[in-house]
Amino acid sequence: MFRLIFKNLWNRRRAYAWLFIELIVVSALACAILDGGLISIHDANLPLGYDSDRLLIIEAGSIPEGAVTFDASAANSVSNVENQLRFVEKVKQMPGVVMVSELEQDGMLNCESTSMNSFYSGTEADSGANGILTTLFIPGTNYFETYGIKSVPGSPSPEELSARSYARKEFVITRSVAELFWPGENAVGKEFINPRDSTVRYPVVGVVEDVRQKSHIRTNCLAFTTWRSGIEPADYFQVLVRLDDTIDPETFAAAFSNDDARRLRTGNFYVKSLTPYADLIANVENSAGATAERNMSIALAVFFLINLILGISSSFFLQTRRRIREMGVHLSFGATRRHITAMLMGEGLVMAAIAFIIGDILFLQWALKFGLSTGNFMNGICNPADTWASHFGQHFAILSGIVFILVIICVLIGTWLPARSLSRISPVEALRNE
Amino acid sequence: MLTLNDINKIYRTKTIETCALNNVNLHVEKGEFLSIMGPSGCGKSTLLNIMGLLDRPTSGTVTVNGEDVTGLGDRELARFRNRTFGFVFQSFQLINTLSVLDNVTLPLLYRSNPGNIEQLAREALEKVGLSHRMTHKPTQLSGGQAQRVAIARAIVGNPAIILADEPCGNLDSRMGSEIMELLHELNTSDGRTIVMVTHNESQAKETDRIVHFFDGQQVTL
Ligand SMILES: Nc1ncnc2c1ncn2[C@@H]1O[C@H](COP(=O)(O)OP(=O)(O)OP(=O)(O)O)[C@@H](O)[C@H]1O
Ligand SMILES: [Mg+2]
Repeated sequence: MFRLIFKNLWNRRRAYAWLFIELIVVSALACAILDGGLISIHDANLPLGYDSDRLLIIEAGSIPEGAVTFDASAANSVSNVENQLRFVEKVKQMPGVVMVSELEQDGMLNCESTSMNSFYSGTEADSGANGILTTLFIPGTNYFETYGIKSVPGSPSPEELSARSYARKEFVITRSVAELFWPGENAVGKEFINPRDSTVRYPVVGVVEDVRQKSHIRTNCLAFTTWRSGIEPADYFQVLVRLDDTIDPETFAAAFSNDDARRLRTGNFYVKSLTPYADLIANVENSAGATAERNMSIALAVFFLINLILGISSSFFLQTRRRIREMGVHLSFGATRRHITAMLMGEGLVMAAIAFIIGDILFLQWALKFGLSTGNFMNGICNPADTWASHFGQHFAILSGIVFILVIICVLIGTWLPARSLSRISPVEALRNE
Repeated sequence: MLTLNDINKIYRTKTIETCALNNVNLHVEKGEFLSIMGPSGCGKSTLLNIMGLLDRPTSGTVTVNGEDVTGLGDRELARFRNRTFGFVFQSFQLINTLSVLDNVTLPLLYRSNPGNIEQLAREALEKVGLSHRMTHKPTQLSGGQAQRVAIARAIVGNPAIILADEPCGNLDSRMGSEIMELLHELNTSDGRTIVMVTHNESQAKETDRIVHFFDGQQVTL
């Protein structure tokens, strides 16, 4: 049977040449197109590093001076801070709420802009500064555990990191930063060095697992720091709310009533809005055009795949249709329908496998020269040492595997359909076909 | 050996209905050399195809070696085509992309223990006097040679019954008599049952029995 398959292919090499070339081109192109789509799906599904699906943001505004309900007695800095604390405490008492944290003005993960700092690692061999993103938090507000950020072994726990008092310039860094600056070492106790003034040092007090600053961008090098010792007077603040498993943020926000709003009013502070964290993330992605971009690349890939399936399947279909008489001869001398199907599919598989190997090697040449898709990184910020794209072999193997399976499926459809239609007619009818 | 009972075959198209066989009853004895004669279009090929299980009758039963094969499934039918019958077609039906040798080995590919496939195919080709053309493609053969390849393919699997549809129809009389000699030898020395359709009166007369057909029915002269 195998010898017959190879003989058939070899003896029909002229008739099958175009189909063969088509398969090679399709294999190489499918690799190139799926590469981008695969990476963007992979990146979108990387863990955020915190529990966005349990979180909710409550925005608090204050009643403007001169409004009827304005409380002049609360308009001093001492009552302002007290009322912020009371407001947060009231939120914490609401049913379903497990934990709350008042956020620094620009300290919301994913949504707010972050600043970038350049540091040296402080080892002699280090030649240049690396850029890392920093995001701000308020100490003493259960920041890390409300987000659900985990600390790495050898570092203080999230609770300890939230509760400790911070001296200026102290940093909590993510695993990626630690691996970049002090690979293989425990970074707790190390110091960053200011590139402009080497006497200025920034001690690392804790290391937490990676957190993604933007959901549509690869894990970046992120660090946390604070310039304050606690809550300060403000007209506006945001409270991060962590809910328990019994209620999802969507439902919680929808069920929030006027009574709830009245109960939360504290001094001049009132509830301005409630937003599930997932919505915030979606908004940021949308406004960054990332959702559209990803949908586009997925749409492109789907469009291409449909064409690929139709193209190869129909080419095979047409080639196989021409051989009905030949199959009639096989049937007349003892082949079963199953033999015929196996023979046609076997030919298709052998041809597809050879073409795929050639196409894949062609794509590999291209990839070695220009690189595989790396996905979306933030400009100017150094990337963590360890990303999927940096595992070239693994990346390439997975990509090739997917494309191979696709090509095989196309060929199987293209040969199975005519083989099936052949099984409906008698050998005589097949023999009469030309 | 082979019995046809009340065979009807009706071809239906959208506009017309052709009755190719009308209540045919026929019995072929083991070792018999039977020839079928009749005018063109009277249903001879149709009959042979039904005998060889290449086509199903519209009604009636076919019995091979005492087994009613009318209701058998694809796999059992394929087994009969492979082991019991060897078909020689009016129009050769060789596969042009395969060599002569590969064409002849074809029936053996569908056997579980075929033995030495190539050796058997060579022997069959020697029997029909074509061992020197094994690597040729069918398109490089004359009509007579092509028909002999077809006969080699029909006998390579050592079938009990050979069904030949005008095996000499496309050949000149010298070639035709060579083929006839071959068939007689297969019949007498190998003891194979042969059913042959022919238009040639003298060839038919050399066989054990002649069955005449007219308009889908068996007639006695
Ligand atoms: N597939 C078909 N569809 C419709 N009618 C058919 C079909 N095959 C055969 N026929 C008809 O059945 C009748 C018998 O055909 P068959 O081929 O058996 O004749 P034949 O006796 O072998 O003739 P010839 O000597 O010319 O080979 C003919 O009238 C033919 O038109
Ligand atoms: Mg005929």
